[in-house]
Amino acid sequence: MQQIAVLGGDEKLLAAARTGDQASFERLIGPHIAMGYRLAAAILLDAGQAEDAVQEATLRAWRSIGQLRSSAQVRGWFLTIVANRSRSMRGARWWSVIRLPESRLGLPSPAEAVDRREDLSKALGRLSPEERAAVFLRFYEDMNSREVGEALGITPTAARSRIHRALQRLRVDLAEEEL
Amino acid sequence: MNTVKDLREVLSGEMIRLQPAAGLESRVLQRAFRSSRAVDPRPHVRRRDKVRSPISEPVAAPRLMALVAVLIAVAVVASLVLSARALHSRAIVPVHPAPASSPQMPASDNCEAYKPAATVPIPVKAVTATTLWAAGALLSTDGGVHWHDQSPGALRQDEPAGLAKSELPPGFTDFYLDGANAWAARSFNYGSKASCYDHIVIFGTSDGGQSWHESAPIALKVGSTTPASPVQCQIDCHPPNFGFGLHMFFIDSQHGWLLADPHVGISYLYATFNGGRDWRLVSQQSLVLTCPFVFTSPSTGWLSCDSPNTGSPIPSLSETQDGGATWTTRVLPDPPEGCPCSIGLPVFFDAMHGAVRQYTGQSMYTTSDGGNTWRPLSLPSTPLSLAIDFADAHNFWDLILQPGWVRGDPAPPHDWLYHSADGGATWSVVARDTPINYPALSPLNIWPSLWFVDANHGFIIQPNDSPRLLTTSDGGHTWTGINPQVS
Repeated sequence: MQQIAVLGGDEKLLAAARTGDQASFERLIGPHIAMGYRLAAAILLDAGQAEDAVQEATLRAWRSIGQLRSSAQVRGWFLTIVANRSRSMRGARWWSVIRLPESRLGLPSPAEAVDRREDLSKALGRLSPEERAAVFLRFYEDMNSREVGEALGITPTAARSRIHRALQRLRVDLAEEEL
Repeated sequence: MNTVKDLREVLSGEMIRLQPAAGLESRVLQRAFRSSRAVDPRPHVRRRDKVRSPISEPVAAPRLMALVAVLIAVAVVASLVLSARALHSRAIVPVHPAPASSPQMPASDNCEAYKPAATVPIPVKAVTATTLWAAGALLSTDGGVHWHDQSPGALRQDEPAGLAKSELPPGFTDFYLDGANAWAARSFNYGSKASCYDHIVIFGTSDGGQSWHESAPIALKVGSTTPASPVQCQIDCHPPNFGFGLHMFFIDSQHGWLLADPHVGISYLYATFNGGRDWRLVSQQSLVLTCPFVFTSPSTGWLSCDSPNTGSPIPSLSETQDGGATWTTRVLPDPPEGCPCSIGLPVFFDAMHGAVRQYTGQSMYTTSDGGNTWRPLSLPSTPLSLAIDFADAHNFWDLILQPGWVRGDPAPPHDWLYHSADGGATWSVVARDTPINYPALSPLNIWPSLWFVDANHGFIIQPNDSPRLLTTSDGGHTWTGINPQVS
């Protein structure tokens, strides 16, 4: 008890979660579940599979919470588990290919801007799941390269390189944004 | 040229399209807590292996010499052909040489926090009414009352002292063919600094675990693709599901397959033709794969990756006709209730006859021509089918939640057991109040496991907080609880 008393708020939660306290685990991981889901969805491009992935990741996080050393790492730690589970589920079928949603397979819109976004959407679907995850974390979740690398288990340099490569494939103007 | 603004808008659109149903956070957390208490978080998939042995019959003595001459000639020709093919094919290559160093735990490991995953043995193979295997090579020969740890000592050679024996090693998988032949495989670290694990070792026994042989370590290319962070190693060292994703299947004492997913974007399928002593790479796929599979002969196999929680618009299975080198899609006819469909792993009773469950509806399929055609059949109507067991080509069992029960009913549902003696064509109820006591409030991810070894004798795991093994000797009419003891 004395040890817990000197810890900060999230550290208290982590200490309690390590002892098996579900409520503390919920408060610690709960805020990151939605982001975990979005990361899984970006990798898998399927809502059902994304929920399966974040579900399994949460179970694994609960089982291995004793190995999380600091509450400051909780987001990256949890996203790493989500990314790993999503990678494992990515081959939902041995022969699977990325299927574009019906909305992206319709006739092209007459508006140029809409056309451009349609093309961009298709190009996004053609990225590798690893590239898509990096782009999603950088430009949707607004993470920096260090945070992207932490979530995907790679170095910040590798994260920058992956994002740079993905943007080239997406034909996004690199001059606009500092990676 | 696109702009970053365009990209952000497209990403936002994608997230709207992929938006989850309301209540994601509470749903995920609740299931996680329930699953952590469950015996087995996924529906049990029966690994039926009653297939015809591919080994030839002995040759009659008077014709022996002539046949030997012919065989030598064929072998010479085959060797030349295979050598030529090997020059151009990357489908079959030998495994990497054995490492010089001993296995060791990753430096960043912190495995003293391991806790047992379950307090009772988890049967995974009922051979007879008395002989059962449980995960981790526990063997019972008295119907599940007493269990003996038959696992090889080398299986846990790198683990910290005091690690609970009921916990499974990293990346562990096992397969039990019968009461004598069994295999266990796991991930090891032989010195990689870039990955938590870098090798797989397979152990095999042909005498019920009295003695084990050990394969040469199979090296997987892991380090250069995705260097592991300390955080990843912390996660990966936690058994039973971390480490490499492994699945294994044997059709007889000699022929088996091992599927390995090192979580780097490539999966490897290996095959053995000498009982697991030597393995060769059959194929590698750029997609990550941790899906269960079955084989019915050295050439024909089936694989299913459908999630029981979601469905596909087209019911299908993946099949191979060349020993796993290539896989194609076998589309099944729509089930009676239509799709979304989630097809389980087929169970084959011999090379021709098999059955498979369709998870998202109350239906199943059978085949009598080796999987060329599949016949959809309806299962008993229920809010939820809990467990299906295909005991043989005729006797099927279906444990279901009480028909007509809906969530919110004041009384908890009973669990009904149905039996079919004609391969699923007709069903009759055996028991309307089994003692399974399935926790109905959160049905997903908590499933009983059901095995019948003949028309009378069966086992089931009662998936409560304190799981129990129940047994029947009268075809499921009555069930008796077992308090297992492990030595």
